Amino acid sequence: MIRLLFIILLFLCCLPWESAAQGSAERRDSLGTSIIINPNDLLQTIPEWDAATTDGFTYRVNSGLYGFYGPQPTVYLDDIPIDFSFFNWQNLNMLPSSMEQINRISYSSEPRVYNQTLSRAGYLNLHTTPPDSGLSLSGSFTVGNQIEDPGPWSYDSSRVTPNIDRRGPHYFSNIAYRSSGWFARGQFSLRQHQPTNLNNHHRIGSYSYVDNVWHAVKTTVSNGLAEIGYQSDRWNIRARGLTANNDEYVFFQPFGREVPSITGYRQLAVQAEHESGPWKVSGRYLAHRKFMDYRLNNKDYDFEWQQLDHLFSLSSRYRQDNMRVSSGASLEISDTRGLQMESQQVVATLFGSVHSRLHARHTLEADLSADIAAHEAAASFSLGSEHRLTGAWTLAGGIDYNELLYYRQESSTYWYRRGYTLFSQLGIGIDTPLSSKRNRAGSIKLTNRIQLAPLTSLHLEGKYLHHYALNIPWQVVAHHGQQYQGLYTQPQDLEFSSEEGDRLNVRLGFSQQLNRRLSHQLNMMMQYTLSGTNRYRAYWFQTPQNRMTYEFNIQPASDLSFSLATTYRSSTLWKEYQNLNGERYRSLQPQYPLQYGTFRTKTPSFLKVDITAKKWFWDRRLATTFSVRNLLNTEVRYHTLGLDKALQFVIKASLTL
Amino acid sequence: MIKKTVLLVLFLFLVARAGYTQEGSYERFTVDANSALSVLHNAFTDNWESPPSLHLGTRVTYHAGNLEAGLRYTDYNVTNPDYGEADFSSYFIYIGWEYPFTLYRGLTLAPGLRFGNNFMSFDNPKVYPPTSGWAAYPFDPHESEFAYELIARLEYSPGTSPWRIHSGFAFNRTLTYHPLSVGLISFGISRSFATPSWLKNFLK
Repeated sequence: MIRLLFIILLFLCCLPWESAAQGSAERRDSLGTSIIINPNDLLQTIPEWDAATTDGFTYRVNSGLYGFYGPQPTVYLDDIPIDFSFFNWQNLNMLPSSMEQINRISYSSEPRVYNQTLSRAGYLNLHTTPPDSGLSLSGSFTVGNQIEDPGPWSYDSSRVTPNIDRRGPHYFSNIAYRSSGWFARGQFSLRQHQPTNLNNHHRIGSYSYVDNVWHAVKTTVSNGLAEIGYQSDRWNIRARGLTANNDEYVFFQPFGREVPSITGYRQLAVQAEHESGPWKVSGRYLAHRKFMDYRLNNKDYDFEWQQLDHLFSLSSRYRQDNMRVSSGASLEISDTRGLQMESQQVVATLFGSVHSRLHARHTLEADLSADIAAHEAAASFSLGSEHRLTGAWTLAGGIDYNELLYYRQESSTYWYRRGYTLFSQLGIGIDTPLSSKRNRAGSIKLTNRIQLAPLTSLHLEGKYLHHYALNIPWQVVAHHGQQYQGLYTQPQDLEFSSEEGDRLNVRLGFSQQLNRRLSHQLNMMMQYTLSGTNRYRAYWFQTPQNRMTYEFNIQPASDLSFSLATTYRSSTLWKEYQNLNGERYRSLQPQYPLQYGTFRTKTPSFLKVDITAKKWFWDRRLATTFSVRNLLNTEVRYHTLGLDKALQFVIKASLTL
Repeated sequence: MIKKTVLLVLFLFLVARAGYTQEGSYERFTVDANSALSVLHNAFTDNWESPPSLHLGTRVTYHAGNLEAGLRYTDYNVTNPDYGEADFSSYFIYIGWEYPFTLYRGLTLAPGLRFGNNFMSFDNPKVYPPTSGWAAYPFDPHESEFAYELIARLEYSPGTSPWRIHSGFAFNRTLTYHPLSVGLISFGISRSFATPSWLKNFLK
């Protein structure tokens, strides 16, 4: 299969490209694909990032710096940050946006201040299409299913399987009005998912039978957004309210299993920008409230965790000739409560950057930021340059040093040290001392961008990363398989230690626009641990060394398009779960004859092929998308506790009036 | 299986090119009604039997071939007493594409491929433990599962009449954990229309 794909790729590369008058090369951040259906699908489109999931609906992201269990990239919706991160678990499906609205994404893996906010592990900014003039309405409906349901064989106890994976239905609606410079819009989304998971048996036995009722193993996310704004040549003012409620089975690493939880988010943001000559001044007030608790609680567990943040920020930019200088400051006042804990934190951030075009072919850029809390401070800086060596070859390089406050790491151990006694409810011990060090890392990066032809580009990048100190949470899990009483995964003592090591990341990218209707692109990522402590090496075994994505888009008719996306991911090893290796996944309640494979600490490498067809109707007002994921039905597993994402199909209909 | 399917579709496409005649996109709209009998024997059809299925479908000309969509209803009754009351109804909803070519005057053969969902509705969903003791776990009475279907339809059109008769064979596979495969021979009638302008505008 790989050989066949390679031959196809070679063939396509050898085709004579055609310079299309109306065509243009896809920008790295444009969404030129119909594969994306849900917000979390966006994570698969960023070559440098990798994601792990247990339920196939929510993901933990590794943007290269902190791994799956570290700080997550900051998410922005139209330049305003949203914080869906709960103990470093994050769910993009809490975004009240449809993929049809998002016409462009921009992202970075570098920890920088971006749009007046410190993005601890890089950022992902989703840019939506501005409302059309007058009144506009749109909506979409999505539904899907994974194969291998039991069907009528559920009547045969020797053949029964527990598969119940249902994607959706998802609903999205939008109403917007625009008149001259003013606009207003309201949006609502409801997303539902019934996941298949190796832990279903455990869930069925331990959580879902509450008050003599079986509750469906189901995730429900309801989100809403209201926004008003004004745009002119000089002013850009926006005010936004956002709400998200998520009934979920959240995978918190310290618990060694998924926990039925409610996570919620509220946001109020006011942002204003004024541009006058070379000056641009921006200010923002942002308040957000996050909360988390148990649901389906048959154990009398209690999260009772909530956080209220007020963020004030102000920045200015001066641009003249070949120079651009920016500087600013932000102040974060945070009030966090959980069980007996009450914690206040104030953090001030100062930041600045200089961008200078020294010569028509050479530019220089420097960034500096300082994060100052009550008892500690963290500094970060970067220095980079870009050189256009020939008309087709651009070479860029940079060095980066980054520190991250313990508070910013959002580790559950931070709250434990301040009196949050959640772990004792679950019988999880703490292996002290817990590290409270800042994360510190330095990197050197070299990038080559080569324009092989007007619509063909090659991207080569190498990055050497040294972690002076990386706090790694480590949670060994024991097998607890006692009938009736078993928890299946029983976490042992939680460790949180500062580790040191070196990593090397290499990226190769190739994209080609063969003509106006046909394009394809290839990305390869190789990530290696060069040296480090044993814990450091074991932690990065959880991320794949090699990944490859190949995407092919064709539009044979103006109202029809096809996409093919192929993903290769090498194997990963999860040493925290080695006590479960070889155990049979089955119900611990013997009256339910459910069984589903054997647990393996090593998730296998896989090749996944997704195909999508999109047909427009009614002068492109109505779009229908039919997508088959994992066409070859290979074993696709992103986390050792996670589901095997078998072949699944998704149907989506979108209407715009 | 997938490789065989791809090769078969490719083969049919190449064979069909010689006799293929196609009107412009969206010009003709056809409604099909037929009934189908199950003819294959396997673990599924040996334990569940069904009276003839009922099928209603539509086709519209679209670039190369026809786009189609439809629904087939089948009632399955269990024949193995070990499975108790395992009767269920199946609703196969699909979209598909076919490539018709002329064999002889008025006689066309259309091989095609359909993708869709098989919605299953169980009259008495299974409960574990069967004695319905403490915390009895009932399975969902409604399931839906991805299914694909390979078809070959022979159609005869007498003269210029919009009415046609057709017969076909369909191999349908529903991808449950233990797949459900059925082979169906169908007989039915079709009625062809010039696509109304409002429908043509909608489809474009």
